[in-house]
Amino acid sequence: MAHGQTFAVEIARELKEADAAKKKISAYLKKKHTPDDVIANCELALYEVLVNIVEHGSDRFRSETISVTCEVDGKRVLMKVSNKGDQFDLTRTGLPDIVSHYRSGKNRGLGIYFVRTLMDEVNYSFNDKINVLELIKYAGSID
Amino acid sequence: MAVLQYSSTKKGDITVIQIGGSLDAETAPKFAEKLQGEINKGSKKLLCDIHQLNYIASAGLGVFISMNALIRKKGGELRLSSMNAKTRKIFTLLGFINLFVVYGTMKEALEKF
Repeated sequence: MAHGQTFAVEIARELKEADAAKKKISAYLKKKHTPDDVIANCELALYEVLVNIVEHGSDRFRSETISVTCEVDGKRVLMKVSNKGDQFDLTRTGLPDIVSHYRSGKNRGLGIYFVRTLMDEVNYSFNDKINVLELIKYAGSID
Repeated sequence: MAVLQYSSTKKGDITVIQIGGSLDAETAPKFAEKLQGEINKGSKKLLCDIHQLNYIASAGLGVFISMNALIRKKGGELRLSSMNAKTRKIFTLLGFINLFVVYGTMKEALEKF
């Protein structure tokens, strides 16, 4: 639900929930008159982050929810994804060489590349077993 | 819940797969099975017409990458046609637009593949 300038949602660790959260963020950004290409990048980056947590997060935290917030601040979209789990900083992982990846025929391993390419800034912090990822996208004409 | 529609037809020696909806982590595994089935049946030319594909995530792109690699090992090729503006932006931004053979229309694809 939207609280003033901030949108917030909590989801279970399931792929269908990641899809639902992505659609809710998209609807929120539309209401905020965010340009379509910015919305497309934000919803895809968010989806990739959530899928990464769902598919690669430790089973020990399977019952823990994932928190997503989003706010539009001037010309900036800020999404925050918080999840309890083992420390994982996707800003420090190496990015694939796309041509090599394509030639190798790998069917997975592009999610983090998507996130870091689609967003202008990705910031990570870890406190008290909570991973917090900030995804920032700048746009020229958001009200 | 994400939904992907697809259908296949034969146009000469080309197997045309028309895809619509969302190709993401939920829908990609079944779609990969579908393409693998076509390759196992002996298709050497797979044309994925993606005009009605309105969403593609990394898992979906991975299907095209892995199935293209698989069919190439068997002497065939997977190509794309009718990419809409939204999908083209994603392919371009991520650097994959020049790695795949992409035709503007299905008509062009059927003439040139």
